[in-house]
Amino acid sequence: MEDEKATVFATTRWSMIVAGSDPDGEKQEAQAALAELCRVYWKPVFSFVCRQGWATADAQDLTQDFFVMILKNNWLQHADESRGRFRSFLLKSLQNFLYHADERKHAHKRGGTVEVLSWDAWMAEPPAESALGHLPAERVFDLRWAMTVVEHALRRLAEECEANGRRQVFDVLRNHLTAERGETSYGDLALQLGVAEAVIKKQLHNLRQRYRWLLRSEVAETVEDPADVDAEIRYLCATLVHVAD
Amino acid sequence: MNTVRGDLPVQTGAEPANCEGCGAAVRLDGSGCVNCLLLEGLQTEGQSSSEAFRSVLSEIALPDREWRLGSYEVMEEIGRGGMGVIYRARQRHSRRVVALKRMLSYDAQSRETLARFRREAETAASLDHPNILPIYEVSESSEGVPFFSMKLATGGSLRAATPSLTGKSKECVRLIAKVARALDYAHQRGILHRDLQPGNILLDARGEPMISDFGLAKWLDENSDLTRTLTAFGTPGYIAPEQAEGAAAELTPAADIYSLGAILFNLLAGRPPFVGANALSVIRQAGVTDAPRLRSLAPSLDRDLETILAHCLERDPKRRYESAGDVAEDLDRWLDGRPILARRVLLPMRLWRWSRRNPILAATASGCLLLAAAVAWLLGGTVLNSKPRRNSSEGCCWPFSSVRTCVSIS
Repeated sequence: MEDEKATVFATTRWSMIVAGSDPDGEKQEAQAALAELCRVYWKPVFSFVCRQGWATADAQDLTQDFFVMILKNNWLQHADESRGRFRSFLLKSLQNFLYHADERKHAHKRGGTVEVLSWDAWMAEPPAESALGHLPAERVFDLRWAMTVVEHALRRLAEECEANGRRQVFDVLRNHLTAERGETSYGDLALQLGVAEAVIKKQLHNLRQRYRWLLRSEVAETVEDPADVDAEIRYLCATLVHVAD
Repeated sequence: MNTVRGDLPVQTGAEPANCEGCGAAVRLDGSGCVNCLLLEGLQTEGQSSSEAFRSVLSEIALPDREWRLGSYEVMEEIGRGGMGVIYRARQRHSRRVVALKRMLSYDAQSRETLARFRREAETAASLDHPNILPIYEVSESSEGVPFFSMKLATGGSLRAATPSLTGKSKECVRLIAKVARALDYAHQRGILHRDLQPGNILLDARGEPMISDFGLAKWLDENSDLTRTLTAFGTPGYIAPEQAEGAAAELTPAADIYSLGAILFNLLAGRPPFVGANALSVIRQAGVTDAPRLRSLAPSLDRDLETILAHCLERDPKRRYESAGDVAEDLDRWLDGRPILARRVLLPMRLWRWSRRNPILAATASGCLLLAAAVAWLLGGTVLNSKPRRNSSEGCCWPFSSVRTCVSIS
């Protein structure tokens, strides 16, 4: 366990990207890692642009252009202040990018920009104003970020279950991963899966342990220093709790 | 109270709003409170390595082969994309073996997204054509995740069959003509495919093509969304330029026609029209440069085939074939040796083709023509010999000039 933990947390994607931005860094690997992180965290970017008041079509264009800019240029060199965390880097870069958003929009109207992202309408739905309308765009960004981190960790957990031929176990137990232990009826779950209660307890414990590791590794991918994982999780939790205020 | 759920925030109405454990208001459909799920990550003790996790997981005697999805027994997984998974499954009552596709529920899609997936699957199920993979049933699992069952294509995909079709241009054209007819059928019913590519053309046991995932590819295929273009995996060599640039809602059948042309191009030339080190460069090329001519990569192939493909691969959608039916018509014409509609061929070539189709008639006609020419020559010689010859300095006709351009140089 320790070996795996050390391996993943020592070579996080973000630390690789930061290293790659140096003149003698591994450019190709850094570029691939950056593309992969952008692939995972595109929703917060799109939500932020929408929350700034752009119409869906314009927000799509701007999101596309933003990622093109990030991936084409060595944008990282301009983002020294926020290099510690990918989330901060992306938000700061996005804010800078949107300062010139009007010009970019007009360029689109003239057909003067090469676009690269193929959007399907369902992927580009703006956040519903009814629920997030009172939050500033930066908070919407963080909130989407938190959701993406959790979604991705759950997705990896499900994939591991499925790869081991136990997807059904994940489907039944996924609602019981969190610490609300008192609410878990092991008897019902045992009945549902047709196994003994003791088996359910053991499997749920196993699933929780693996989920924790996956979540931490997910967060670790986005920070330069592995020691920042806890701080990043706490920051995201604070964002979520404030939504309820 | 508004609670944020899943991919899209929704008003929860009578449902419990904030988490009873932490008070946070953001939940994922099917997985609970996001804050609580994050807090789990702060418990650094008791994390499980991949090996340890797998070992304990395998202890539960509940392998997935005993799954049941609706009225189907899942037999094995046969494919997986970024958002969907495909199983071989058996319908319990009929014992019919089918392919079963479902979205991966752990993506925590919103209910609205799932409902739209279901609606589109039902629309696709209305298509009834021998070259479109039939959808038998659209249903949903006990967790509310929609799935659909369809015919199990046992011949694999065109992507896998491509190497075996190398050098067989007529076979390739015949196959794509059938695909074009099926595409035209769907277009007439207002359904676009949006992601036609060799992997979505399946073959039955006799090698007959069947288009799969009409209008559904975007839900199931990893290579059809944002991920395709942000990372190097997947080759977007079959997407129309306007599809890469514009909103999905503005697409027309011309986008599918481009993809059709790109697929045939790949079969004949051994590669799609545009290739590059990454998705970005491929899409950029398709947007700013014309597709290469087929014969620049495969010089031995027929010029009319080149013309048909160039017409499919026009950058401007308005300049492509008006319908997939027109593409099929031209491919059939090429197979029959008739003139294609995309370009009127020169008279000598049309005569040559006609003579190949009608050899006896052509031989008779040729004989008659030769006889007529001989008679004309004999008669003409007699007439010319009976008149004094003009002095060559009085005038001449330049080679290849018409009679009207004859000039006097005297």
